[in-house]
Amino acid sequence: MNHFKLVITALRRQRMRTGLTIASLVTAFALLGLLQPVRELFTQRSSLAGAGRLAVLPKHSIADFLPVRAAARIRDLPQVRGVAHRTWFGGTFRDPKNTFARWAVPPAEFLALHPEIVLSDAQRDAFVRTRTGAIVGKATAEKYGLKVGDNVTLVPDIWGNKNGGTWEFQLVGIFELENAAAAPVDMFLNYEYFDEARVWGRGLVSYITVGLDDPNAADSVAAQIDALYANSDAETRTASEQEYALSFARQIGNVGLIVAGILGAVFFTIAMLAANTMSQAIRERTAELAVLRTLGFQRARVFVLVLAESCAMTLLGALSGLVVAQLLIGSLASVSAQLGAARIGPATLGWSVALAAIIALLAGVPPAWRASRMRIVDALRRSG
Amino acid sequence: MQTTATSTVPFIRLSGVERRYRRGQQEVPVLSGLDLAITAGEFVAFMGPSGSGKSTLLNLIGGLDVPDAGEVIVNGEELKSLNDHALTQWRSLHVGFVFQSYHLLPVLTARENVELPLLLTGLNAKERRQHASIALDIVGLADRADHLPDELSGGQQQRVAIARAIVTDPSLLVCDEPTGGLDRATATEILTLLQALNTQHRKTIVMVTHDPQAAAFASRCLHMDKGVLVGSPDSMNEGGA
Repeated sequence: MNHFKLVITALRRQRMRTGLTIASLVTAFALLGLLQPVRELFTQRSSLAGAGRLAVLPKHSIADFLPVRAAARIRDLPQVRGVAHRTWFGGTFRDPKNTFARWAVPPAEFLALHPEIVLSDAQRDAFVRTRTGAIVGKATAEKYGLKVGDNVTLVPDIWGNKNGGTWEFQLVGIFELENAAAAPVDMFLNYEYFDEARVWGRGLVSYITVGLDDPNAADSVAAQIDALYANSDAETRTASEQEYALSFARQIGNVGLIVAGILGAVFFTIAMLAANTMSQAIRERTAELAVLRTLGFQRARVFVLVLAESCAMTLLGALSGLVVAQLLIGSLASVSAQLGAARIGPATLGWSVALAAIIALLAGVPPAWRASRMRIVDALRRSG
Repeated sequence: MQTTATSTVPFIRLSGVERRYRRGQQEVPVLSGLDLAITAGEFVAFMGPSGSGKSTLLNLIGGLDVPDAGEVIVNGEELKSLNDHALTQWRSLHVGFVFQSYHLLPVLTARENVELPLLLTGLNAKERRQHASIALDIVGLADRADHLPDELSGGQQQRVAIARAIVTDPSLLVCDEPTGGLDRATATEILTLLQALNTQHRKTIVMVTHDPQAAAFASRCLHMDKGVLVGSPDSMNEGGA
């Protein structure tokens, strides 16, 4: 018998009620662990420092384009190791619900700039040499049963084909990503074929990718690139690649604010629920706490016992919730590469600790205070 | 005849004690100028109708409440002069409480309930367990140590409560209707146990009861009515039942 057991047995008094409250806490902290990293992804202002690759974007909108010739001028800048570009292809593969990203890229430059893409030498050569070639991430290949040699038909939406029909590509490679938590999903198409066959926009690209000799030169190279095209008809905004990926999602609104709003509402509700549970639990045990005071337990000791109960309940819920979140994040990688890249980092842990402390205090302090200040005689009399 | 210091200095002394409670706008006197002396080792029963102030008197003696006027001195300590912290500590060292409704923690076993007051001592876990076992042995429940209160009869639960009251070896036991919820045979067992604690272990016991047969186990029975002691102050039950 010790104080710890006293706290734990108190929590087990009303197992159903405590269990449901802890389940609510688990849900809340799982949401926090899941959404906070996502919020961070959407709200962070990416620092260019240390970025090995830059994305040169149209200055005003990701829906604009840059001329492909801009890549050549950028390639001549000091510290630039290589240049490639990407153009959002869109289109429909089999069903509009199949939403994996499809990009037109110059194969040789693109692969040179992305050493993390793992392809066999044969498939790498095939992608470079095949005019209608395409490669796809392993996750998408497995999901749709695609294999090397298959013909891939894409129904155009943005980019009409000069032949007036569908786009036909030959799958020449299935790639993986080095050191990635999850299998990749994107599909890459040969830009040369795409550019020749599209109805409009010849020579335009969505953005230019720049590889750097020295990641520490990212800021200065970015500034040089933007200066190069300042006051032109193709002004640029140079950012990290991640920033570009996220700018798509930002189009749906202020995701960070939405997530913060959801989490705020959830935690406010959970805090009230936990406070109600603790308040009710302590009210039901008024006589027992009065007996402890009678036996010689000081006010402070009773206060700490009740608060410890609240802390134990919150801690259990918070830890379990974060474990659940970590498991869910792992499974998200198969849905979205960006979400899959989310991690429960120090910021999320910091938020968890802060919120758990706030909930524990909100739920625990009022009943702990009442329990420690009660008049023993009145409490015993009321209980008979 | 010359008397010894122990016989002349009462263990419990109440002088001019007044206690009032506020009910709405009115102050209701519960104890009115009460004087009382109890010597060490006595077993005193208080009887009287409901509202006569018995339990209030017991709360004052046990340090659960303080008087509005007058003084309560127990074992040389003027309780009114102690702040809450000191009074709480005093209770843990000197007083054991036995309630009519036992007030055991239902999620703890008999032994764990008895161990509760020992959490306030410097004893380690093993010593606490040993002390609790001894207390349970004294009340005849050593074989029920690992049972939860729900698994014990009313009389057994009250024995556990008594074990909890004596486990820290206090000099004073305060018993509020300890047999109020028990049948006659069980009540007699409990009262016999209290009597043994009084005679064999020299515990001073003050007990409130409505039951004359319970009061008969005390060495002295005092009657209260309307906040004062009534009848002959010398009314005593010689040796109990």
